[in-house]
Amino acid sequence: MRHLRLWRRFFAQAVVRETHYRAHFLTTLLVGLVQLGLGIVPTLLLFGFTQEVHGWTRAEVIALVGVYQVVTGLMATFIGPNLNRMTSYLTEGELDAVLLRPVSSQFYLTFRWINVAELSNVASGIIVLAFGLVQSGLTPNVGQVLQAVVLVMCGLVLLTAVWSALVYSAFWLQSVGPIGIVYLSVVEAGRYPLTFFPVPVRSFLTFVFPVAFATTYPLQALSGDLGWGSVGLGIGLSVIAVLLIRLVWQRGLRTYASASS
Amino acid sequence: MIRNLRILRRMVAAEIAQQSIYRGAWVIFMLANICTPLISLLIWRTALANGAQLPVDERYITTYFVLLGIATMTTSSWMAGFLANDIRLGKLSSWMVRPASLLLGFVANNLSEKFLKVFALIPMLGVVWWIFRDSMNVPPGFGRWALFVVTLVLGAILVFTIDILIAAFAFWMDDVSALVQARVIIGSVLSGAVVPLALMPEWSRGFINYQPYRYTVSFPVEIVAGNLSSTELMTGLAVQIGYVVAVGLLARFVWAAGIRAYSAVGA
Amino acid sequence: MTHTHAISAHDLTKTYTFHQQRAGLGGALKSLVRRKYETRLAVDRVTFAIEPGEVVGLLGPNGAGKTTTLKMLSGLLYKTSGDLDVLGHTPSDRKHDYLRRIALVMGQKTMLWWDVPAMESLLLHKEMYGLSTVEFERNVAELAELLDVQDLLNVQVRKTSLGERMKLELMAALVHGPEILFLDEPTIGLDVVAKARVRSFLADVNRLRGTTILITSHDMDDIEALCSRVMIIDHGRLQFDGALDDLVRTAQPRKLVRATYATPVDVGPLTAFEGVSAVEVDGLTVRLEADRARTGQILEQLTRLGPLVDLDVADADVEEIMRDLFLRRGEAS
Repeated sequence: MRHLRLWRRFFAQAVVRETHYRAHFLTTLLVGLVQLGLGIVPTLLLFGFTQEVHGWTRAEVIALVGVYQVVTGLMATFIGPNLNRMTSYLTEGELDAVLLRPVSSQFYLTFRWINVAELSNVASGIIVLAFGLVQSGLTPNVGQVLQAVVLVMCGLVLLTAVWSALVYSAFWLQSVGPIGIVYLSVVEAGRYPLTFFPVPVRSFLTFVFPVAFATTYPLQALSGDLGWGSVGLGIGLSVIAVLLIRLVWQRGLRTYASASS
Repeated sequence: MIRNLRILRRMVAAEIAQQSIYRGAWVIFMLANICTPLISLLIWRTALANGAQLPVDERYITTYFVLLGIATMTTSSWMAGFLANDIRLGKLSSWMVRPASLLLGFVANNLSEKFLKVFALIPMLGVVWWIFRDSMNVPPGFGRWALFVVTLVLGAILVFTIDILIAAFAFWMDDVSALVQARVIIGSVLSGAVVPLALMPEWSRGFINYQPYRYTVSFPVEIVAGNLSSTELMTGLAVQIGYVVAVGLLARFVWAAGIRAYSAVGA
Repeated sequence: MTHTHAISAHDLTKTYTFHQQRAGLGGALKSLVRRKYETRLAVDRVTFAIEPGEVVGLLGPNGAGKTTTLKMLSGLLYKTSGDLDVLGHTPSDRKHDYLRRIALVMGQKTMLWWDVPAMESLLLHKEMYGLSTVEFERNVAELAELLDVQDLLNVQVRKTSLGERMKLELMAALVHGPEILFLDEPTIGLDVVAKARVRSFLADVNRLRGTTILITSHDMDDIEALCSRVMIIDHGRLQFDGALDDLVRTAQPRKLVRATYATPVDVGPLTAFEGVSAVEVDGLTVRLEADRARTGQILEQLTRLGPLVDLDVADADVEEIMRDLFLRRGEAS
């Protein structure tokens, strides 16, 4: 698979780049840790007033924050650096250089840049997750772990699709530079279990902005509350999302190639 | 003074004309601005409904988070990073030879952005208000709303001066970006933008109630959301004015010292 | 479709839609609510054919439609109407097979990655174009020698000079061995030595590999050194298509002459001389425009005026030649 070899080259290049900027690594690490701590503050305060909310204990919600940190860390490593510069691709004409290459331009624009330093946040997320799991006394078996991993992957695909859809709107609307901020704000909802939200919001977070697949469902899988049915649903939704986002991209490109100068 | 105001008016008009090109961007910014408080609101309402014993009621929580978006927006300042950059790169010199106050440009930029953001935010705020209309605290009479506006303006001035203060460190430090980032993160917790200060643990009360950040965002919102007695209100207002004056003087002092250091080196 | 032509275009047309930004605060607020759209004809029924191995210059004033044409040829823009065939493909389909056979270099835009050595960019190209290791290494070695950049391949691109960067840029564009090379202002901003270097390299590539080259440039020397044929586009229309010599003959561009004398001279006799125009005196320096055919006689005349210190003869640049050409056409029609 040529695209896979290409991606390996992207990764190698990102590592080379990172070695040139050691201060960047340290800043990313520190900011990530502070943000992680900050993200736990509301949860800790909340559970200062109550023992459990809708069947979730404090330890479980902390484990959930760990999963959230892993997912957002992965997104920030592999997807964020690309989608965040989508507007500049369009307005600075950098897209032209990509369109001339005999590779899928959507693949290229989604995976070209990798921010290796953000992987440190994935590591800290795993530590928080482990801490939460130990505290809550959960001991997932291999099947449950597998379910959780598949669901996290579905979550990553779904979030990428939603974020892509947001930035692709740049093809039709001018000045959508900061649209990544909307994604970052809504994805915050993933810090909390789905049942913490009113029913209409739950549907929104499952089907429209499917952050539930990235955090709540994987944790439920780990605690054994979830069947393979939900995993199937996640995979199904991911496939649909990928097909849809490819369609949007092609339509967008058509607009671009007929309008740009 | 009058001349500076006239210049300011011109600059604000020019900035608005320039920035209105990015109309889409402002709507997006405000959409994001309202998202985070909304998520917090839903979480705390769920906790309440689930029987959590909070020191405040549902009406307080709802009003607080609905108004939070507008309070953080109107009092925000993003100047520190830019100003620090200008200082570091020696761009200050080209400003210092002009017959207008150096900070005027930043004030104009700040005011015009807020003007446009208010435009984008009000409709969204209206929708959220309408959704939660049954559990909003609407204080009777004009007085509290007037105070809300006054304390917001004071809060905005306070944040702006804190920004100047932090940017002024660039006169002596090479890189203040970490400092700026720290300010933002600490500020978001202590100002009540993440969690209402009323929900902070009992042991931290004394500190929480009198630290400056409360008077940037939380205090104006508290005035509308309720619970403040007239005495608390007056004390709060006095403390806020005190902070505005104190930080203002400090910023002025540090800035002047910085300019002296800067002119001495002649960057 | 016969594939004897490398490129063939018939009645190629492109129109743009754009919105107008109104001036002032009122205007800005108005465009906040509603925007006014207008259409503009950028390329208007252009017809031409280019054979494999040709080197063709595409000339025209700014905004004439050169870049739009180049972008349609390379598949970045959809045409509005007309027929376009490049290497048997419709470019805007951007089939991978097509993209592997072309390359585009833009003088003002870098396609290299700044933070890493050029070799990293080349390795990425290897993967993107699916080159075998043997093929890749052979091409890199050959190009590096032609361009004399062996030592630059492992230097961070941001640390190279403008001229070096252009060489690396060309190398990256050619490492997959394209059949057609599109060049948009390849020598812009380069010094004389670097320009000459780029030109001779391009001539080598054309000779050794038979690469078809389509080049836009403001620099007449680029065109003279490389192109046997030029096409001129103005206001979206193809105004001229033929040999460079024919263009020069048609346009009759004047030479720009500058003579500096040791002592002040009287230029009176010059103005009466045939083929001399626009005489200007600035202290000891005399500037004038000379009829191409009579340049020899005019220079002779100049030497008789007084003791010459410095003499400089230059071609009018392409823009001027064309302005001249179009002016004359306007008068004729």
